[in-house]
Amino acid sequence: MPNFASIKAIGWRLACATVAILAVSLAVFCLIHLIPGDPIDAMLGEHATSTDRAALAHALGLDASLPTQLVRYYRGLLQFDLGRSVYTQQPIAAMLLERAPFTAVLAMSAVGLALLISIPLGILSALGPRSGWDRATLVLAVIGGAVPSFVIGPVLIVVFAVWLGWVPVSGAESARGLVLPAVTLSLGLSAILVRQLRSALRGVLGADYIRTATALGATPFELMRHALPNAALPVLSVAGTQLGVLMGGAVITETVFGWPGLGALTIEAIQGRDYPVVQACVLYISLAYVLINTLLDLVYAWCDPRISWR
Amino acid sequence: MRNRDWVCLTVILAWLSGAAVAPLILPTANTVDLTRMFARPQWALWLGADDLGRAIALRVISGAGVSCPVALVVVAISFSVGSVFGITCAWCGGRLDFIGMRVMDACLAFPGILLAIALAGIMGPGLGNVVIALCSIGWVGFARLARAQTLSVKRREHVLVAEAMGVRPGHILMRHVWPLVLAPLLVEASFAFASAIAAEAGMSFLGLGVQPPTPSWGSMLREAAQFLLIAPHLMLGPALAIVSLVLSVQILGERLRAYLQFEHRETVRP
Repeated sequence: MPNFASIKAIGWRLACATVAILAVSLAVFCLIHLIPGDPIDAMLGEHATSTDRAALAHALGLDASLPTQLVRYYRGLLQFDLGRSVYTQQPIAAMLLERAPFTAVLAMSAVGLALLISIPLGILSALGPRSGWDRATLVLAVIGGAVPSFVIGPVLIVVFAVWLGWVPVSGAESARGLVLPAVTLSLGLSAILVRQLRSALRGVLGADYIRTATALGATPFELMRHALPNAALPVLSVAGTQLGVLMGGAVITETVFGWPGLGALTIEAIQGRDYPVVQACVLYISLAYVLINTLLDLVYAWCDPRISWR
Repeated sequence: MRNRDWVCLTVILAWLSGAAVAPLILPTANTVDLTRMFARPQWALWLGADDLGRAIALRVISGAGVSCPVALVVVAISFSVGSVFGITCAWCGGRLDFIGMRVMDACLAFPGILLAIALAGIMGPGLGNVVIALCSIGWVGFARLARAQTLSVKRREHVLVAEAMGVRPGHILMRHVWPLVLAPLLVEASFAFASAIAAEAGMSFLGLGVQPPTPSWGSMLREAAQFLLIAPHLMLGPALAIVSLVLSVQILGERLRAYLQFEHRETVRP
């Protein structure tokens, strides 16, 4: 159970997260002021009438002074009011809510699939160093780590959607549309996980208690029962961080497969110069990332007494 | 060096020389010839021709002239800014170190590639903005590594002895600390180069990088993706280029790490 020192440390971690959230939201506020020239020009074009320009500037609150804009921005955030899209006039909060479930489903299937691939492979290759499994795993890990998703994705589309016709080319109309994007994301991810698990397991398998267990005649299965929990944490920590990244949308993969998640929304907004939507997406994605990472840190420290609370 | 390492070195040098001759062949690579639209790979056209009948092999070589310089500049800027920042933090310590750490934490609070995409998206397409965006996420890795390494070197006996003997701090830093900090930074730089190649290609794939008709590997893949169903061979050239270069750099980086005996913390790619 956490004692006084750890409660203090939890407080410290939460304070860090709060500072990070403030920094992130402030940075997102500044984003719109990074647009070269006038953001109104960028959105409406140079030939817009002055009435339209004034109307848009007023709708976005850009006609107010900077401190007023900042106050309005934070008041809006606290009320979950992210403004409206410049083009569709839809409330942005509703747009995010509509897209977020797609991203969540994709992220969880990708991480789940990656764990399904990497745990057995990692165990087999750690048990037999320099065996065929080990070499195959390493080759897979190196190639999976070097081939970007925008290369794997189209290759998978050509083979499984065009030639074999097993799955749709893109879109999320049926559950089968989830297969290719999830596989694409999980390949890169399992390349990292399998290397982590292999090196962690190799470290644990060299420990004295494993040697003793081997001498007492433990089967490989029994060895793993003792070794896996000790090797699992670094692997789960990477998987958790990745879940945090993917929860915000795998921008490129979602674009390749036309998966209507938050990443695709971000790119659509960038291409349509719908800057309020871009801001909201970046804000949401970063906040999700900070929150998930903070939560994971606390869970790990609670699971593993060796991790220092600070 | 094993055979495999020589292969990797050759691949890297080949792409770098491709980047060097790229400006010379750019006009030929941009020549439109509609009679050979979507031509399949053949002897005269190794990788075939694209939707405007331009030779893909030539465009892939010109693409190296975009990807390689961008990645080199990004790594050079990130390396310099990051190592100066990290070493300063660790060397001065105290309040400066505390503030520096918080700045790094704040940068890490964003999922890297998203920040780059958002920055480049907001600032508008173009290579300069891609470089700025990639540097703004790239320097943190170098800074953290330089800080950690300087902190550990600072406590070593030869530094303590030098301080006790009254050697000037600047001299200690350059002569006794920097050489020991440099080695892991070089390993990090090789992996950062591989990620920068992939990240630049990713951003060009999203349409944020160099603008047409100048080819880059990412934008070629973007064009290829539009014709995926009728001419999948358009993908072959740029895909092989990215994978061969990234893979070679990663393998050599791994060798360098093993040679210098440093643990590399696996970074998560986009």
